[in-house]
Amino acid sequence: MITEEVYIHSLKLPILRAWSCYVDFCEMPFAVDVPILKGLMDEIAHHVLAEMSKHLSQKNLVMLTETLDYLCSEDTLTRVFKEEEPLTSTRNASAALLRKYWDAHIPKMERERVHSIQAENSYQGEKKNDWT
Amino acid sequence: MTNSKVGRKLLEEIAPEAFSLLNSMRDVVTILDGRPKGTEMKKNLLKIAVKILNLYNSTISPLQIQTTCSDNGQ
Repeated sequence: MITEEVYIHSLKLPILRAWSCYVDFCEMPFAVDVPILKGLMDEIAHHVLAEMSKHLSQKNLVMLTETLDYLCSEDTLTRVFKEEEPLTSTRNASAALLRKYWDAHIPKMERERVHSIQAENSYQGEKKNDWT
Repeated sequence: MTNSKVGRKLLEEIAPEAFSLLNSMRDVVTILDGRPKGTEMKKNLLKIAVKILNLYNSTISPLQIQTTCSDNGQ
């Protein structure tokens, strides 16, 4: 069984951060950063597979691995954020659902923690590009 | 009843929001790579959802899942 520490640090936080990134990228297309989202999704996939490998049959494990590989691939994520209809509308509908659940169900403290991490990463990114 | 059907039933009943999100993901994948891929992805995630629910959900036991399915004659 997964421990609370692994759950919170290796699964819950990356899930919340990937969730927040996806919504931000949909709402602000100029902010799309596929490598960041891919890194978070790879981390989630790694821990989900490690845990589920103890409970799934080989056949279902292969199926789960293939599904996660597809969803986490750079190619899929890059195409998800292409600006073209009907993709933009469908993607934004999913972001609206996630935004609604985020505001309604995620405790304020956790939302603030995730936003603080994202803001710090964004600040570090800006600093790297600041040559003035 | 297959695992993906049990997963769909559970998500519809206990987490309709997650079910809506899964449908939304299917729609995005369908636009990207066609309907079969979108449907396959959703079915695969549902199969895993039922496994995870069985493993971790403390409020709905496997017995209740069976009862829910039997109640609907499936």
